[in-house]
Amino acid sequence: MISYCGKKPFLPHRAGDHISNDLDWWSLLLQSGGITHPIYPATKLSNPLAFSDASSGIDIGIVIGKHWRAWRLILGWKTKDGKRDIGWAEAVVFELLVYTIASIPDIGRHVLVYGDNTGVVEGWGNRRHRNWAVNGVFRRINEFIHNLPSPFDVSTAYVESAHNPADDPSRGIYGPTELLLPPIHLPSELEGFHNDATKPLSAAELRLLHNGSYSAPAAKLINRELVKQQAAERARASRAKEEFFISKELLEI
Amino acid sequence: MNNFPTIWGKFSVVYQLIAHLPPGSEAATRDIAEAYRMVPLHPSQWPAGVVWVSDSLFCIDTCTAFRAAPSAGAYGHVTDGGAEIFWNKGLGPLEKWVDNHIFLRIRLEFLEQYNTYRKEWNWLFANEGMKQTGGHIWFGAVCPDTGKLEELSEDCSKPLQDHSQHMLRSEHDKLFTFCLQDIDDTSEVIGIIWERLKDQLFSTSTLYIGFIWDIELRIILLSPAKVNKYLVTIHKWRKRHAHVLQDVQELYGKLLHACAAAPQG
Repeated sequence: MISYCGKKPFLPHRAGDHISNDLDWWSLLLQSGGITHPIYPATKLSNPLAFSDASSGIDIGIVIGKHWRAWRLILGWKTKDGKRDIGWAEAVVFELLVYTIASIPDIGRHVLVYGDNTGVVEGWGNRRHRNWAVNGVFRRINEFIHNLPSPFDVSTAYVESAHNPADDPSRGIYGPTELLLPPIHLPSELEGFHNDATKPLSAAELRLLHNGSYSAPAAKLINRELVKQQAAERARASRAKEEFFISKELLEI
Repeated sequence: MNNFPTIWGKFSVVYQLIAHLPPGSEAATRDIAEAYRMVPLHPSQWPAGVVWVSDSLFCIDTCTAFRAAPSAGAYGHVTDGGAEIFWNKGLGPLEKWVDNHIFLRIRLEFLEQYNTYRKEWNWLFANEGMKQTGGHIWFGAVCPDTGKLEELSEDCSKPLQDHSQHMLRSEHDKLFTFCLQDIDDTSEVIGIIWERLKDQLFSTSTLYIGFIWDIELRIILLSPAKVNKYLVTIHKWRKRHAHVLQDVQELYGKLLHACAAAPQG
């Protein structure tokens, strides 16, 4: 609002609905005496080699050490007004990384995480971003950390895309399942936006694929996933058939 | 304003100082009396100090108080000089925001250990040199241990000193490296006059830049006065259907200030 008011400083402008919602939130926080911040003792930085990436805009992935997890964004997450854009997807995967880190015991009081999106890396450093959808993600992360029994501080550092290990899972190139990070509880605000990449394609995703709603590169990724899942399904069916014959044979003996 | 830079003891800087304080430390806050009015403006600069009172009455502000853009920095130079003198005397750690000074003091038993910290900071900062961002002067470097930007208003080249033997003081004050009288002894010589009524004596918590800094409980709170002020601003905003730039800037500035302690905002 500052930017468009700045163009005509004396002309009154109406504020958007999101400002009214933000002010409700601020009023509640101010009245509840919630504007407090703990002073964490100066601690050493833990570096669990935690990375996040949302490079394809379809898959989003995280890597901690050798471990990984990925989610598929469901078409329709992006808004045409540019509020929920790739920056938002990068912020969401950073959020999922923080939730996963919080599930690791004794991770430390101050954790370093890496990302290749300067908007998120620098925005988190400043604790604000120009895009209010990204700010909403930052706010959720802050509230999550604030309410943890042992809150920790998160610092971000930039890594080039070429050196970001989370680039692979964010392009549908997954690691072995034995190195899968534990599943995490996701906030309700993210429901309907993504699906765990280790789970089969949902009915909604299949419908979107058959309707040709995905862009060519995205459809390629989804198709590849579908082919992988169909192959796994065939292998499972074939194994089940073999086991059936073996058990039958054994019974006859 | 960029040509008249000064030090800013902002939230993140004071946060960092307090996060590194050893147990049992205390803080005191003091305001300089008649802040800007104690620095006269050279007559050649008076044209920049004209204040419109009415269509037929214009006054000249002969001090660095209003109008002239470099005033804040010019006054800043004077108080920066004061801070330098305190640091040189080993009175600190100390930060300031315009005329508002926060003095932190540590217990004597931690003096050596704390000065080791300062040496490390000094070593880090020396490689980087003094930095300037807009009208803001600072020293800082990314600490290899914490990965965080360590930022302070001084280069930490001067160690803190034990002033506890210099004069009579209370039993409690004897536990610390300095007391309020030690500050006065220096400030009186250099002509800094404190607004006594605003003095917040050494304690485990103090009000500085609109926040209550509780060193013992290790928590920062937005002061009740600011909470009320911000609620009133929100209330006024809601009563208007449309807003001009000044309204937006006022609301934004206040909430941005609160964000320092409520980053989720």
